[in-house]
Amino acid sequence: MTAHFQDVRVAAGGAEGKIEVACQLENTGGEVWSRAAGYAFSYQIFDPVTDTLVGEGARAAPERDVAPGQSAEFHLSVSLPPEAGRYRIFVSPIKEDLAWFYEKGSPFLLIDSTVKDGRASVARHRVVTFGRVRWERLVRSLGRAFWYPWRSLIRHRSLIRSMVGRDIAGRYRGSYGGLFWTVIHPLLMMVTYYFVFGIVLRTRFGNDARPSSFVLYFLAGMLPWLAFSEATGRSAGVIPECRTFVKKLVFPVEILPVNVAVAGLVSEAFGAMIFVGGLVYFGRPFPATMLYLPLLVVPQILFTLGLCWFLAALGVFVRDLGQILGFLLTMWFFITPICYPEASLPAGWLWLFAQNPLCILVRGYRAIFLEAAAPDWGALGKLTAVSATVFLAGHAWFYKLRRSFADLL
Amino acid sequence: MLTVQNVSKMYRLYRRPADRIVEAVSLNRVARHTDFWALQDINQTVARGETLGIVGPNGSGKSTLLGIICGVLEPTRGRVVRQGRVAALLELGAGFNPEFTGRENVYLNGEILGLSRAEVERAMPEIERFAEIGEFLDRPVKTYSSGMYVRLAFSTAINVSPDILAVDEALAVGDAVFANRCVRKFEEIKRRGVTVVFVSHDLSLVKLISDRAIFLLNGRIAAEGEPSDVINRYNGMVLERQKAFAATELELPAGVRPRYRHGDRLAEVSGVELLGRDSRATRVVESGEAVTVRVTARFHADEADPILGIMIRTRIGMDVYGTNTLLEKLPLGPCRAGEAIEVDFQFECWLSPQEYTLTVATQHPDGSSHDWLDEALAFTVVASRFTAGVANLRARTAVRRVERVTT
Repeated sequence: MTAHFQDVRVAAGGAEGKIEVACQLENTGGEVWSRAAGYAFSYQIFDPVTDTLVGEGARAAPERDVAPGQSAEFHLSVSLPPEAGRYRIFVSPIKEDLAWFYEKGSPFLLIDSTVKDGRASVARHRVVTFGRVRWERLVRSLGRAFWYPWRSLIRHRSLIRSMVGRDIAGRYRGSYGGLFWTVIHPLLMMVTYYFVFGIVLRTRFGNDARPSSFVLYFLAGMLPWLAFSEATGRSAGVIPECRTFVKKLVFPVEILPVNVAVAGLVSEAFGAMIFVGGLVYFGRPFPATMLYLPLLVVPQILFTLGLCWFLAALGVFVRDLGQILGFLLTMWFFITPICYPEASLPAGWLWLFAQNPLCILVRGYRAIFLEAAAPDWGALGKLTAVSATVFLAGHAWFYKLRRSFADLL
Repeated sequence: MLTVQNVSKMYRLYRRPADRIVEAVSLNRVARHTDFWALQDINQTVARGETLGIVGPNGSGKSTLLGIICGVLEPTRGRVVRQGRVAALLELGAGFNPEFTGRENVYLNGEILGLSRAEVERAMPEIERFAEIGEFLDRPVKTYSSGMYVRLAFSTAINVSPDILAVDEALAVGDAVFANRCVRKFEEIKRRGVTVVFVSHDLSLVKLISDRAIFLLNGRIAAEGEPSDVINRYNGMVLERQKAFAATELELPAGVRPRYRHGDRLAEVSGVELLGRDSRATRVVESGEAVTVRVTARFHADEADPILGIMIRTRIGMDVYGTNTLLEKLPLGPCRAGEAIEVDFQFECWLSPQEYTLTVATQHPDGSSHDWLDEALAFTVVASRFTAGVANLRARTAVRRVERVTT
C-alpha cells in the first residue's frame, strides 16, 4: 500500500473555506486500486496543537482501476470548518475498512492551513511520510518539555501560593492547637528520633561525644529529608484526593504536585527554625557558609518536584503506590546517613551510598551549617544536573498522562 | 463564543481492573476492553450571549459533553474552541474546602478561575449580595445547608465575569425565590455577552432561559433548535419509553407508573392519559393550555354509584387541585361487571411552571377505593414567564404615579 505523489497542485480559495488539491498518483504498491475493493482518495483534518482528529472528508474514488506501476489524476476538494483557527490536513489514499495509506508508511500530502473570517489559506504543503510527522511531533514535544514546566510555575504562581497557604492552614483547622501544630509536629518527631538514636543507641558523629553535637548533626540532616519525604509521601495520593479539582473544575492539575512539594519546603522552614533555636541554645556560631543554602535548595526543589510529578501521575493508575511508597521512604530514610554517621556504613560500599541524591544534600547541609565549609562542588554539580533532568522528565511524564486522569478517577 | 467541532468521546470499559494491566503489559496487542462511545459527532456553535440548553435522559452524554466543553475532559476526536474565560458549575461546591469560611473559599475559587486577588475583592460585594447568605459567609462551609452552598457557588461563578458559563443541574437545589433570581441573573449576563451552556432535567427552566436547545440521546444529537420543539421531541421519547416499560408489567395502563397503588380492585383504572391542545398525549403543558385528563376504568363487579376522580400535586406532594365525578355532579352508574367507561376532565391548566403529578382513583360512594393510583404520571408545566407559587393568576399589572416631585 504505497503511492507516489507527482505534480501536486494545492490552491486555496475558489469557494470559501475550501482547498482544491490535484495530483498524479502512481501506484507503487502491489494491488490494483479499484473502486470495488474500496480504494479511494481522501483527507483527514487534525488540530495542529493537540494532534486530535477533527474531521474526515468525502472519498474520491478512482475513475478507473489503477494497476501497480500506473498513474492516475486525482482531484479533491477539501472543505475546512468555518471556525477560525489552524488546521492540518492529511491527504492520502485509503483502503476502506482497512487503513489509510499513510498509516502503512506510504508518503502522503500534508497541508498546513489557516481559516480566518471563513476563508481558507494554505501556509505550507509538502509530501512526507507519517514517520517524519511523528519525528517532528517528538521534536516539538521535547521543546515543550523544556518550556512548559517553567511556564506553568510562572503562570500559576499566585494560585500555588494561595493553595499552599490553604493546605498548611487547613491541616490543623478546627483543632485546638491550630498553626501551633506545624511547629510542634516536627519538634515531637525530632525528639523521638533523638531519644532512640542519641540516648538509647548512643549514636555519635565523629569524635565529638557530646549529645548536643548529635542533635545538631541529626537536625541538619533532617532538614532536607523533612521536605523531601513529606512531599513525595503525599504526592502519590494527591490527584485522587483532589478528584473534584480534576473532574469538576477547570483547573491546572499540574500544580497539585507542586503544592505538596512547596508545602514540604514550608515544613522544612519550620524545621529550620527549630534548628536555629538549637544552634543558639548550644551556643554554636552561625558560619558565613550558611549563605550557600540556596545552592542546595534549588536542586532539592527540582528533584522533589520532578519526583512528585512522576509519582502523582503514576498514583492515578496504580492505586497501591501509596502503600509501596510508605515502605520505600522508610528504607530511603535509613540508607541515608541522617540519624547515624556516614562512618557506620560499610566502607567498601560508601561510593554507592554517596550516589544517593539525599545523601549529597545531607552532606551539604552539614557542611555549610556545622563545618563552616563549602559544599562538595563536584557532587553538587552532578546533583543539580540530575535534578534538572528529573524535573523535566517528571513534568513530561505528568503532562503526557494527565489527559486520561479525568477518565480514570 | 464557543465552537464544538466533531466531538466524540470514547471510554474503554474493562470488566476487571486487571484487564487494564494485561493490556498495558502486552503493549496493546491483547485487547481486553470494549469501546463505549459516550458521544459521537457533536457539532455546535454557541454565539456570544447565546444560551444553549442540553436535555436528554440519564446516560445520554449530557455531562460528558459539558465536561468536554469546559476542558475538564479530553475529547477522543474533534476539538473545542473557547474564546475567553470559562466558569464551570459542574458539581455543587466543587473545589470548596468545608473547613474554610465561605469568603475564603470564594477567594480561592476566584483564583482557580484565573482572577487576581484584587479582582475577586472587587467582585466580593456583588457575590455577597447575590448569594444572600448573610453572616454565614464568614462561617465554615461545612455548616452550610445545600441551598446556601449552591447560592454561594452560583453567585461566585456568575460574578467573576466569565465569558463562557457551563452549568450542570446546579440550580435544582435552590428554593423557588433563588431560582427566580437566577433566571433574572441569566437574562442579565446574557445581555453582558456571556455564552451559557447548561444541562437540566427541569424542562420549564430550559424553555425559560435558553435561546436554543439540543436533545442528546445515546451520545448523539437527536434534535436541536427552538427549545419548545426540542422539548416536545424529548417528551415524545419519554412517553414511548414509559409505554415500553409499562408493557412489560401486567395490568398497568400504558404510560402509567404509580408510586403507590391500593384498593379492592372491584373496578380498575385501565388507562390514564394527559392530552394536550392537539388531543395528543403529552407530558409537557403550556401554562394555560386546554388539556384533557382521560381516565378509563373497567368494572369487575356491578357498581350502583361509583366515583372517579383526579388530583394534581406538586413534586413535593402538595395538593394543587382535585375533583371527581361526584363533585362535578356527573353520575357514572349503575355500571355492570365487564363494562368499561372513559371519563374526560377538561380544564385550562393555569398552573405555574414546575413539575406536577397526577393521581387518579375509582371509588365506592362512601369514598373507599376500588383502585387508587398515586402519582400515576408526572407532567411539567412550562411558560415563557416565570411565576412563583403554583397558581398562575395572570395578574394584569398597571402602574400610576400617585405623587409627583417637582423640581
